[in-house]
Amino acid sequence: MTAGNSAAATFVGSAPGRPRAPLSRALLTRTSVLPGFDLSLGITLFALGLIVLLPLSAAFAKTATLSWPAFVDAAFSPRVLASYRLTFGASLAAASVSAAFGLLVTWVLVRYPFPGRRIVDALIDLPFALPTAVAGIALTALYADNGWVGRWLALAGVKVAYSPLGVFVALTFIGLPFVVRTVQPVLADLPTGIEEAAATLGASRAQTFARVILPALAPALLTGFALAFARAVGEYGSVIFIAGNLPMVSEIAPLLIVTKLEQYDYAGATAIAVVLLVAAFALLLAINALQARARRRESA
Amino acid sequence: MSAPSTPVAGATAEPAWVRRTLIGSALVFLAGFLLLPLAVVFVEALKKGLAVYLAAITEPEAVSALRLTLLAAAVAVPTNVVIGLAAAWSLAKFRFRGQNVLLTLIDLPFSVSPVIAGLIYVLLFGLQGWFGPWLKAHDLQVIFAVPGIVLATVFVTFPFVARELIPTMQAQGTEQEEAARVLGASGWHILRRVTLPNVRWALLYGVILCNARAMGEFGAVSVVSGHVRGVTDTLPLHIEILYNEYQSAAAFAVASLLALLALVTLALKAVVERRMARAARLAVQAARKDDVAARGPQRSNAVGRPRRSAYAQAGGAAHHAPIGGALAAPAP
Amino acid sequence: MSIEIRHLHKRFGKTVVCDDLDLDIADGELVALLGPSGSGKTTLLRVIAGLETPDAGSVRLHGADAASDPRGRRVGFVFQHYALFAHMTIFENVAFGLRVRPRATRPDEAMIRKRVHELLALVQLDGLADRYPHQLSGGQRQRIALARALAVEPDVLLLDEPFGALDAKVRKDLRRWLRRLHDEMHVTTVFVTHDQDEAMEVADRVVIMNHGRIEQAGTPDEVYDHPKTPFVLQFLGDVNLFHGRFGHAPGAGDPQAEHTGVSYVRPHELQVLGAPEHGTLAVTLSQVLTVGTQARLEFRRIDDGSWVDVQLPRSEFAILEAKLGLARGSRAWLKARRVTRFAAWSDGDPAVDPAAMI
Repeated sequence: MTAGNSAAATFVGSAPGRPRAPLSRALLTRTSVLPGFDLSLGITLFALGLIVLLPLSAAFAKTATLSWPAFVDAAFSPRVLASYRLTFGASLAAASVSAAFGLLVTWVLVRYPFPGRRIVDALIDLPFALPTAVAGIALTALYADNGWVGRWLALAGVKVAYSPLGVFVALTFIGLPFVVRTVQPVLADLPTGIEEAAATLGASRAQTFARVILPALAPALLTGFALAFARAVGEYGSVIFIAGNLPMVSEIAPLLIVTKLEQYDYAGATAIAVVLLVAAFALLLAINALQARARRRESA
Repeated sequence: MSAPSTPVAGATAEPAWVRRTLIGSALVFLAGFLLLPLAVVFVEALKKGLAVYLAAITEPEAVSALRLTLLAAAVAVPTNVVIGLAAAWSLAKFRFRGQNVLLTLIDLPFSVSPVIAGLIYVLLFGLQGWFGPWLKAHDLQVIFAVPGIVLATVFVTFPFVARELIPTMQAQGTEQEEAARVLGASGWHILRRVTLPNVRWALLYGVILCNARAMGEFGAVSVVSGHVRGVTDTLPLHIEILYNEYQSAAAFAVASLLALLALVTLALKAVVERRMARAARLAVQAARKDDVAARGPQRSNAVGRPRRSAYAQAGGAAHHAPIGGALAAPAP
Repeated sequence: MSIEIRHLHKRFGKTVVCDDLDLDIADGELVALLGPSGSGKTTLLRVIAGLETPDAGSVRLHGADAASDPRGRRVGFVFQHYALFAHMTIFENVAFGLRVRPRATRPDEAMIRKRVHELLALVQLDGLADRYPHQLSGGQRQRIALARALAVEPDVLLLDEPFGALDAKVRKDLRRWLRRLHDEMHVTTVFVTHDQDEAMEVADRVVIMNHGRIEQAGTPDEVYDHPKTPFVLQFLGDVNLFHGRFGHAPGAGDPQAEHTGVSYVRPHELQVLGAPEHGTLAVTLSQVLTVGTQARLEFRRIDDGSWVDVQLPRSEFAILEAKLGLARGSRAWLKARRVTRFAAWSDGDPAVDPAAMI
């Protein structure tokens, strides 16, 4: 910990002439009279390094020990590819459906007063607050062939539990709050001015929605979609109960990682993990960029 | 134009039938989507009667699982409060090189699948891991033991408190702290008497979320635990074990405890959100009182103003320096 | 397009925002709705636009009952905060009204392009067609908002505090520009403002509102020189207030004096004398401020110690100063060239007593 002794010096006061602590000297772009920079940044970096960065680097280090062909074999063998297809495919579909229904729910919540609105608003976060194992067994019970919903679907010949469709359903469940909570503030802050302007210019309500409101919501909707997608890709607990977990058919990538771990194939598990990590980081950067662009446009 | 009628929002309202259809479909969707899974937990839990339910949640293994869950939360939450405060203090009250990078790094655990979160700790502390031999030599065990579970929990809940505190502290600026400093207060004094009272709701909000996630974590803990019943099982893992042994009623019974926790979390969240909104509104009003031109677009068709969410982008009422994006929290 | 408003009544909750308003606006007029916050002027404007529905009363445009929603009314509306569509280019913003026309009346792409460029040239922003609103300054955005409103060839142009969100200098420029635009286009225009200078400078007629009622409607000269109510007098420019008749303090014992009521004298309607005359007020000079070309003198009444403001051109003041030897604390006497009194005015029928001679 670099802050150690300098902590005392920092707190006594940054009087001019006193040597500043190392982190302050190296990094601050604007001097401040407030104390505690070195200590707080020190704690943060220490914790970040120890708890987050060091373990994460272990994954990449482990993968680096593999030769390239070995890596490709571990990360892209047919069974693994099938799991990617399922994971990314179902996540994409689920995020899309979440986005569509999320938009509907957000619109109703923000625009229309109805009895119980506050309670419904609080409940939107349920998929986020509910532990995934609980969600997993609940959804399975619902959609199993003898479940409350499953039995009706079975009549139509649709099998949800223990199939890729079940994965899709579970991922839609957990994606909803991300869409709603991302779009909600944007929709709420939409000034009626632009809707009234459209009306005075002769647009019908439907035209106003399609040409003015929806485009204004598009960035937030896209961000919500991306957040739901990213969450779905890494999802484990909600899915493994309702998926069939059959290799090549209904096995998601995170489950494959666990399976390999149980077989002590650490390298194989890590290889898959690295692929998922890279995808996740790419998504993270994309979402950052989306949000930055939305903030820039907002100043109009 | 003689009839005294006032439509809901004048020229910018949809016809009533559209409104009703939309409300109806949204409510039907939500009922089927959110309420049904919640309901099924409790119905299945009580399926075999109250006696079985009580037995399931009081049996020794369940109790020890509960204790381990609480322990993990009891370590993870305060740890992340300290880290979160430190991170928020440095990021919100100072300007330094690499701020955005740091923000992104703090958000990292959010974008990592929980299974991977567990995996990387196995790689570090497992028998074949980097510290494996050292731990073995000292007769210490992290993986497949309690310390590993606690560590994994700390990892997955790492950003929660920080990403609540950072935007709030950024929005509040440094004026009050600087004023305190000029008056002669020490760093700890400033923190305790100026900053913390101002951010108490955001802090509480972060703690609530952090706790909910810590107690509900599944994937990461599943990987690092040895699934040894009565020793390295948390409540979610216990649910899995019971479920796989076809003790469905018992599994749902334990699940109902966590479902109740989720509902309590939601209620607390709602309460704290309202406090935060009120505090923010008062602050904005005070600042804008005499500024006619600054009274920006007033009219909005929104029925109620939601606050920005914990897992969407940070920003809220005052849009300040870009905060390196937020990402979804992967599954516990 | 003339506008006729009869018995307009509008309430929000318990607050009456428009109280039995009657107003006539002639075709091609440029009218300002002037008043303090909460006077109902914006609501009146929005009712004309069809954005609010009145609780009672009628709005007739060109003799016919106005359509029930803004789409049928052919009004152009310019908002205080522009309400430009942030995700569309300037071109698309201006073209919007043309694009959403029903297929039957929608012009083709070439026509739209021509019209948009015409309008952008009119507001002198032709080169910015491909930019986005957030890339423009406030003044530019407001001109685009105007162009957008004009694109659909409205019969009436309504502006809601159009320059309120802009810097003082930009505001002045745009004021002049709006006046010139109106002189070219002759569209009936109504705009809302709380800035009296703006209203007086720009409008053909000024409608002064207070608490939901119209205090007075008339040309700028009319309302300034012949205010119908104390509110109008006090709202437009500075005024000195005297209890009783000017020059006679209450209780002075003068049998002619009516000790009731209030006399109003504007600062520039007072004359500074070196010696007392009949009906003058004894004062001492407290402060002299020079602002631009005017000198503002602050006097203190000797009888009750209250303040009186006098305004006169600096050149005149220089002469006066020399002639009377005015300095802080020196005595002087004020004579009113013109006094305004409202005799027991009741609803809408005030009597003005010019009492030019005292």
